Amino acid sequence: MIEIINIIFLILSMIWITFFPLIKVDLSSNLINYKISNLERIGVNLSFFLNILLILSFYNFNQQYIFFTLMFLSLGNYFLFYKKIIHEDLYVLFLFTFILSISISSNLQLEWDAAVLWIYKTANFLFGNNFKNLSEIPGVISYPHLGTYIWAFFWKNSFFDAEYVGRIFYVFIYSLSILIIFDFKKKQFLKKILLVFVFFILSIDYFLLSGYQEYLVFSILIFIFYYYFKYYESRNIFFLIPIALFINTVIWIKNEASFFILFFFFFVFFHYLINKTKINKEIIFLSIFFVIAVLLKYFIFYENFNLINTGWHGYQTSDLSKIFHLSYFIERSSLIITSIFVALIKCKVYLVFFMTALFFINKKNLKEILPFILFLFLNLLLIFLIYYTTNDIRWEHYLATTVDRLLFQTSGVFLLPIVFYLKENIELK
Amino acid sequence: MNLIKKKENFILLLAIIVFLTINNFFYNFYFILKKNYSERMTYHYGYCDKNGYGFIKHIREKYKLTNNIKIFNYIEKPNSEWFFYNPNMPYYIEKIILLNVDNLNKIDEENIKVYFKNDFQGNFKIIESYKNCFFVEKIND
Repeated sequence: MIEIINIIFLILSMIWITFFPLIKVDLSSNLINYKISNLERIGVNLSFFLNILLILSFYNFNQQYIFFTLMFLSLGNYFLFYKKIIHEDLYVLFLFTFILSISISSNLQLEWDAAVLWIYKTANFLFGNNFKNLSEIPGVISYPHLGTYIWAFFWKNSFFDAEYVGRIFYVFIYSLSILIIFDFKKKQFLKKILLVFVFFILSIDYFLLSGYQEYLVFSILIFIFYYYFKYYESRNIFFLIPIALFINTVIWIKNEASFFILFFFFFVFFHYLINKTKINKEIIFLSIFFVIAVLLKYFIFYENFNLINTGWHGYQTSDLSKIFHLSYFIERSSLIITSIFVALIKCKVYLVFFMTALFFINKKNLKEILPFILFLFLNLLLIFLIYYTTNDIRWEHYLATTVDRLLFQTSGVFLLPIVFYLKENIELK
Repeated sequence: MNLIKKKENFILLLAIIVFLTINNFFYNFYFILKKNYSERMTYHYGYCDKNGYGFIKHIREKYKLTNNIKIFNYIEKPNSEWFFYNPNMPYYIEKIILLNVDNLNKIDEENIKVYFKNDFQGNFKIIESYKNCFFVEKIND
């Protein structure tokens, strides 16, 4: 029973902390002149929260003091705005996080990478060490650490000492990312909640909730794309703040996320291009910010550990002469394309995306889906090139074990066009 | 409550039950209530099989081990050291835990030669064993 209470406590504290009074619920005194839902507000606050944790991970701050400070600060928001908070979507967020948390508590096994790589980084932060000490522990030093810092943060601040409790945050952020897509502040609650159930069933993969970092990237990419569309609709530059903050955090969760963000910018530029609108200055600044953030990350790794990540441990590229050889091309391409095909089928979101495109696409709405197709194409190209150019003798092993995970990370983004087409066709507001 | 509202609530409840069932919620909830954390860990990671959580926990508690300990698992599994890993503690130099040993190289009743991945690790004295799991300490040759 104590574990159930602990799970409830942790979920409530996550919701509580993301109530941190950065954005007020009271719309008349809001920082932005735009109505935002509870979940959108939690999303924005989450982007600040993750950046605060990122900065703190470089220092030796006591994680319990940080936790209590954040809990205390949220009190202000509670007393000032309690009456104005609509709880409906918070109940839904709690419900989904709770259901999935019970599952990871029962099936608490860490899968391979989590047990040989990520858990040691988590232990490093759990026992009060900072980023610099990562060179002293087992695992791959050049893999980023933010996901494991958050894991340790909630593990440390739980009143039950168990590894899985830190991973409840992964479930929380995943649930939030699915729910944020649906606007609960408008009507049609039943229709939306039924679709939410379907979206969870489509995107849930318990294997990846067993200590992998994929769900964090999956969720943050949804937030980035979601706030981008909010920005595009309203032209309110406020929405670029969570985008920038999320970009800054996602590159510290997995190295390949830098590529996903690069493709996001291609997506944005293409989106502007096909809508025949001029690219705003803010978008240019945002892309410059991204380049600086990536360079800063590599600089920090180089300064601290004298290394720069260039792929998985031991990844090296083949000779150019070999790459362009016909037999090499045929041998590699067939295997890689087969793996990509299998992974696309395995990841049900892509199946539904293709199905939605097939049924609902027409001349009118074609423009909306093209940037997503470009985004998908760029991701597939990246995956192809990763395995095509490597000379690692174990490349087939990596191909078999990582392609689905790479594709999974970006799959959440494709829930957005699915909702777009559903809104058009089933009268969803 | 009008009929439409009733219908909506019924559909909502039904959907929740279906979702809970798909996620195996009822069994998971029961499992957490019935088995404590340690029992669940042993269930998933094994006592003296798989990752040997139960055996490692037993040895750490019985011999009051506070430092990190090297663990050699003879089956293809992720290393089990993380169960009780503390980055601020050193490793025991003389003590190791062997899991799922398939071929024991006995010197005599108490002592064994330990090889791991074709590397000779030294001669060790068996302090405690359970099935094919061993807690051993290095002996001077």
